[in-house]
Amino acid sequence: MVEEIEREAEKVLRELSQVLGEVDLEETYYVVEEINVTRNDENPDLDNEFIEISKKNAPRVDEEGYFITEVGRWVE
Amino acid sequence: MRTDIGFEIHEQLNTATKLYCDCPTDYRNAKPNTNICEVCVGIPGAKPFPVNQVAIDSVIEIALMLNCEIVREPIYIQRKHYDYPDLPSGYQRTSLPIGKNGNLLGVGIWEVHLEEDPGKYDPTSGKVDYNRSGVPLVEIVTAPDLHTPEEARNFLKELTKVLSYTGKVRSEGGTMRMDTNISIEGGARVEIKNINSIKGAYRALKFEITRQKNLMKKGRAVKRETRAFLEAQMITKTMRVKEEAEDYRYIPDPDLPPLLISQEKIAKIREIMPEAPHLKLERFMKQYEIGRDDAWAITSEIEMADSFEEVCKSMPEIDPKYIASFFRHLIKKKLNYDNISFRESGLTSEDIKTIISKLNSKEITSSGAELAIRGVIEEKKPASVIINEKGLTRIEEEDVVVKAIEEAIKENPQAVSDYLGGKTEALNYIVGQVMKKTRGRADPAEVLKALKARLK
Amino acid sequence: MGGINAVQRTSTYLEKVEEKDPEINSFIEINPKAIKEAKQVDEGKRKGRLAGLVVGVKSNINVKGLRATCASKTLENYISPYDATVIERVKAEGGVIIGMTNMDEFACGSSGETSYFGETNNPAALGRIPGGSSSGSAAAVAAGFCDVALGSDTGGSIRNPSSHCGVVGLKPTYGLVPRYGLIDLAMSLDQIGPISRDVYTLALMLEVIAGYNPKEATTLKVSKKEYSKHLNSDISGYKIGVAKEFEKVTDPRIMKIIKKSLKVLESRGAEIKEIFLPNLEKGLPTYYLCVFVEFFSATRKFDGRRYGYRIEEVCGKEVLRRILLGKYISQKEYSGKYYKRALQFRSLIKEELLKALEGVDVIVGPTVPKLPHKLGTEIEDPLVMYGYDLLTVPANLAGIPAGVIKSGEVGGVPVGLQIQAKPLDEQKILNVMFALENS
Repeated sequence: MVEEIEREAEKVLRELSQVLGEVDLEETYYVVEEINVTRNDENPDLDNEFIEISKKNAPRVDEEGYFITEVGRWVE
Repeated sequence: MRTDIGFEIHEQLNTATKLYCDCPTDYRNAKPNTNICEVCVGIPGAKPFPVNQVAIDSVIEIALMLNCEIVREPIYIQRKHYDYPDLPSGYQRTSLPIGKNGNLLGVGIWEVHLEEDPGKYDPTSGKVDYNRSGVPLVEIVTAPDLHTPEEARNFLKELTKVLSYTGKVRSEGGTMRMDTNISIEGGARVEIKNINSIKGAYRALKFEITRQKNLMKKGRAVKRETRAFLEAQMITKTMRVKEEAEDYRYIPDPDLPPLLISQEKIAKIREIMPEAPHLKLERFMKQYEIGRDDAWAITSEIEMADSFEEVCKSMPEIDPKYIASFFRHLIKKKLNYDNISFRESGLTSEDIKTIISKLNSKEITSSGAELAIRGVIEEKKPASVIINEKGLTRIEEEDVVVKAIEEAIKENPQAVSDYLGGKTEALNYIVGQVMKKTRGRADPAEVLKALKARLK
Repeated sequence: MGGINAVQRTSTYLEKVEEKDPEINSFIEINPKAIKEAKQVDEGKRKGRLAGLVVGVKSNINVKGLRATCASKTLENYISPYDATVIERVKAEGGVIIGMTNMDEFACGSSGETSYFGETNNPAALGRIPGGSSSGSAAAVAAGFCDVALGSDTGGSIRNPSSHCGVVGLKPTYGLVPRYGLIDLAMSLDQIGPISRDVYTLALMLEVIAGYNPKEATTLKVSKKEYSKHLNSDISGYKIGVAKEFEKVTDPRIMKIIKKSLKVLESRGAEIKEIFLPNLEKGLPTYYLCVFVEFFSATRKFDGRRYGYRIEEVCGKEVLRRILLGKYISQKEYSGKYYKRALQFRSLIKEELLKALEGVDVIVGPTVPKLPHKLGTEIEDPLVMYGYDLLTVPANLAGIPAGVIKSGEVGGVPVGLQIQAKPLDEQKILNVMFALENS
């Protein structure tokens, strides 16, 4: 499937770019033009129920609570 | 051969909550993966909370302390994409530079950024703990202005001191992490990751320089690559070579509007930020007419430097040189011995003033002063209480001293005969015994004089 | 909703779902606690503006304890450990969540066919696609399986299926409704919005979910509005903009229906004005290039380490296509050629739309340029599928609100009228819809 998509990708990009053409404008990254949206550093908080459900969602978790992932290639 | 060394240094900031969520930053006693929420482990649908203001202000202050210019254009928070087990969202949020073009000890500071800490991954077992994921970090990128592992170590020590002066980084220690890059004339630039201490940096550089020079000697090329430092084995190993160099596909995080730092904000932070340690050292030498070694010892910690100044100010009758010597030889020595910081010791300027004043009025001896310092640190009581409780006041009554001298002579015939036989250092031993008997309350100089007279 | 027995209402809907949804396939999961929650309403333990209203939720919105699968194998077994902000608000106002609705996988589609849990049928035109990507939400509302549903709209995903299924739907101003808990398609474009059978319920749900969220950096600091209270079908004096460009790209059978509705609006005192949108067609490539890059970024978390499966290993073709395209064009060497350019065009389209809106209250036109195809029709060319979004993506690129209401039918297939307005002018959109509903 990957090869097929990659074959089509070129066509998709070519056609999309063709419609666009060129324009000399600033880029719009954000629709809402805000700056300095910050919060105060206070009231640390944890949700135990969240932690429980998260463990259930984990594909591999050991009895200590670590998520088990792959071993680093370079230490093998 | 010319060797150029640069660093990317990461240190955790001292905030109450994480950078983009309200999880606590103090995870040290938490069980694995219990100091987490949907934001800091990349649970589907979670969005970053607005940026932690204290973290931003801390980075500005650190950048200013490192003589950086503060960027006055919009500072985007970028997503730096890479796939690694400790990175819960598959990207790390890292700000564009907040500070630029600074320097410390003649080493260029290229950029200072605000970042989020990833989780902790053990590549040997594959275990991941996300408790620290999302803790704010300051990232400091230096120019390759260092040339030897020793220079690098000194620089890192000074940097640590500057950071701790601000009080804006975590004080527990052991949270500094760094990558280093090293290029030796004739070879390619090599990056080393996974360094977790100054000692580690020193060892990694030592190993790497030897490795590269050996390759060159054999006429082999030093490839451009990224290596990992394996601390336990004290070696570096290839992580990836240049061809696999990562493209981080940076984009501004659409969930976080940019930051814009105002002139007022910079002025406000400048006003409250502390004097840099190297500037303080120079000032102390000049203002108090003390030696470099004394000044170095005292400015090793901002709390100690502040206390020194307070003591000098409130005891104008006492020569600052004397106070400096007291700080260096009595306090700093004890702290070094116990391997604790001045702040951790609990010593206050009040304690120090009490001891110096009693020392000055000869109410206690220098040994009494040492015991008083020890008492304050170990028993967490004020110096005045310790001096009373332990009876550290200097013995005025001559007969008590005379009695102790007589006893010491009687109990140590060997030392006495050694002394009389010409071994003058044997007398010091007897003085020590007398001091022990008087629990440090006798004046050692007086005891020495009396002993000499007695054994003539 | 006083006087309505919530348990009775909920069980009636549940029975209907059980009986008829096998044909429609609008739900992925039913909330096992729905009756319990309804009971709490009847007992007066849960009160509020939505008390007893039965709500369907798109499967990309987190409801604590239910699966937010995004209709993908990637998240097949992912149980939400938290509530999205909109869900907190719905629950706080007494809404009863009946279940999680079907959708195009990760909201990547405009037909409702790409779900890992199977395609959704169109209750208003059986055998045709319901549209997407909020296919299940629109279909569930159209089939009468719930009172109202939440969808999400990145480039038309609420409006497109609302149009095809003949229901009312609204994509709010970007930043009006919290996205916290909505699984991303493209962060800078996504908005959650309501889908319903009547304008009043639509307005009611909007006012419940809208409003500033202090725990999010991109919501707007605007005061709460009571859209339902201010519904007004008197639209005399409204200036309605219509663009010639709509006609150029739209099936004439659809345009015929839309023109009829415009006549109705005119008859109710609105004034029709011509507006110009010369860059209308540039919206589509702009939109897709932005989506590829943002979606690639958003899907990096689906690495199979903390939950679910690694996305590339299990996802469908369209999702994989977008990830690969995003990965390709966000490379350092190409970003100027594609992503930056798209963002420049985004500025152009935004400016053009906002300028067109300066002289009018709303812009009215078709929602989808084509009629929905029959289920089972193979559409090989992704660009043909993307073409469904031509008229809906500009509102997302500009961040403006847009609503859809049924205008009429072409051979029994519903056709929706799209109403776009200036940022935060949701009330005007709702009023125009209300006027049409009451005509």
